[in-house]
Amino acid sequence: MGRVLTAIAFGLVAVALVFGAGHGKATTWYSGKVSTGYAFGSLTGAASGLGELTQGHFANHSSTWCPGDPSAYWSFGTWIWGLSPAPTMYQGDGSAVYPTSFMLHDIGDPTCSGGSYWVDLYFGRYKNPNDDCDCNNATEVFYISYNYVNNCQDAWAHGWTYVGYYGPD
Amino acid sequence: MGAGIVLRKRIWLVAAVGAAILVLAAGGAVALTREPQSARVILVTPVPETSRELSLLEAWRLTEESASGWDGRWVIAALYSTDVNDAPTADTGASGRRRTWQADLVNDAGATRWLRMTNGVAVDAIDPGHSAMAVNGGPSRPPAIDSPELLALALREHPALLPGADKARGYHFAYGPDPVTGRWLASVSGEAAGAPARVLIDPEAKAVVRAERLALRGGGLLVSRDAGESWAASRLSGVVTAIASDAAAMEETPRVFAAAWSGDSLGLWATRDAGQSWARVAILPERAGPSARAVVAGPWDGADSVLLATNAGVWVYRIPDGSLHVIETGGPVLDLLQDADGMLHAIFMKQADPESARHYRWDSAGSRWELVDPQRVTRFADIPGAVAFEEVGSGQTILASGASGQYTLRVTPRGIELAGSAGADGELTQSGGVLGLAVAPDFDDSGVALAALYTGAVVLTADHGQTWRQVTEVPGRGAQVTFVGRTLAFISVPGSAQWEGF
Repeated sequence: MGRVLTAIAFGLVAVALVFGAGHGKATTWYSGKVSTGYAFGSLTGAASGLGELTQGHFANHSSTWCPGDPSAYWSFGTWIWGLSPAPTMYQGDGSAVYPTSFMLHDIGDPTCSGGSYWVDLYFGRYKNPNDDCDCNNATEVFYISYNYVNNCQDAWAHGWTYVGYYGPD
Repeated sequence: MGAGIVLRKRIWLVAAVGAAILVLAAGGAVALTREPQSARVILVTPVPETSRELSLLEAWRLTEESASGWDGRWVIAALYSTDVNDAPTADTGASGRRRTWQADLVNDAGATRWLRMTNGVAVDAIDPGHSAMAVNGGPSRPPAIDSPELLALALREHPALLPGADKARGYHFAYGPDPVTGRWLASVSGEAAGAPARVLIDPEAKAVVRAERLALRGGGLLVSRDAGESWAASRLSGVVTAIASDAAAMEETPRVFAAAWSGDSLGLWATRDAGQSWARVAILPERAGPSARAVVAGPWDGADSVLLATNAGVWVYRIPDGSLHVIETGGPVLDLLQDADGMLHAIFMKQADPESARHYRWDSAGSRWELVDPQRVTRFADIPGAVAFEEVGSGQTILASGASGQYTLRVTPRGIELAGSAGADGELTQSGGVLGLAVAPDFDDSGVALAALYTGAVVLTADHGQTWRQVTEVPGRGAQVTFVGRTLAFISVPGSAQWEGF
């Protein structure tokens, strides 16, 4: 019995060590943080690299505007993952995805009303040709979808939602 | 004795199993959650300790080499340098090379992968679990110009391009499809006139296509002269971040001051006609930053003054002579108030160290800041006295009450509550995300308070928060409400950002 317990113990410790080593980099779980959604807007976010703002990108506070928010110091290109609950996002073909990993590509909320560790998830730029286009962004750029997709409405429907996610320390 | 050894052995075994389970539950759960249902880790490698900077072309080759081992055919959809895994300064990138590069790759099925390379090694790659949207595959060939030449060209044509700050420090480089023209362009980015900026270059022609900076535009200011019942536009442009009047002056049309970012400078504005017209009375120095997070108006140091909480100290505008000077704080000031005795309180932090934010008060005799509380705090509550609290993104985020303390409103993740006893949930009277809450100066008597909701609705109570009704709706997100008199109130809407030529 003792040998069996010993074997189980060593086996579990070994598995735990493998997971720990595989995890590799310092991360923190942030729970109960405010998430909001946005859509359309200009083609690129504040990240000055090229490429279009797409689903999978997110914005957070700028340290220039919100220096008291620790996450405002995260760099463009930062990844967060395990976001829960995952948002529902629709692509132009009408299919739904539930992304949990996001890359920092934009800034927002200059009055810092979202609180520390706020994330603003980008929902995309598809809408039906007959839909109104009113996401209240500076430059509303959108693509037509004939599959009853309206990313602006999706973003508003996401609303003000409390989420948890993994991010940098 | 023998029984004791057996018992200790069993205890050790049980403890070992327990410890292993705990380690698994902690570390293992993290590792498992790193691979949620819709995302997959492709590569995790420790960052090499030896620093090695790559040029754009070298990063391109490393990206292709890294992706060549993946299943299927992956092409580069965008390649760009970042600050991740780096500790950049303003000089970083001045050689045209960077330590960290990231690439977005897509395959024939439209699936996306993100790759990160640091110090010349691919260190992270994930499949974020969703396909690319409107992203075309790359040109399958490297840019015809490398980043050192890109930087030289950009600075020659646009010397106003300075090293970046904030989330992208120093000079950065990118190569990818330009969403505006659809062409593959290279870019050099930094800062111009205090805002993120970039110079876009055609790599084949080795010529600048355009140069642009990200301009933040205000969303407008609304004024109410009947305690929040009706609203009209107030003609002050820019991003208004703080408004105040002399707290002691309970006149119907007090002199009101507002701090507003105009796109290139932070200005202090004043109105004497309840927001019908505004005049700029001061422009703060560039080092104050774009945002004043609080404004206090009242007597200070022998003269009527306006004090502003900025990124570089408390700036004092003396109304009689229009002079401007600073009370240094060594870092950004998060909040500011003057108590009933005229004592100045501030919450400030060390530069780039938000954990260091503390409550201080100004010792006039010693001309120095005096620490009030060693605990981290970030904001003052809108209640009598100087009560500071830590805004953590959940739990209590805003607290407001009248002078008597009899009526207290509290914003929680649920919405607005009538504050209950310590530790107990209050009665929820307005649900939903709340961006801002302000009580009228005579809240005890009038019961009037305003709240800006995430939906854009602005709601009013006239019975100390028992009931709320919508009085107006504002576009966009991030609206703030402020009372500057018994009947005079403002709503500021921050607006949005857009790229403009420079």
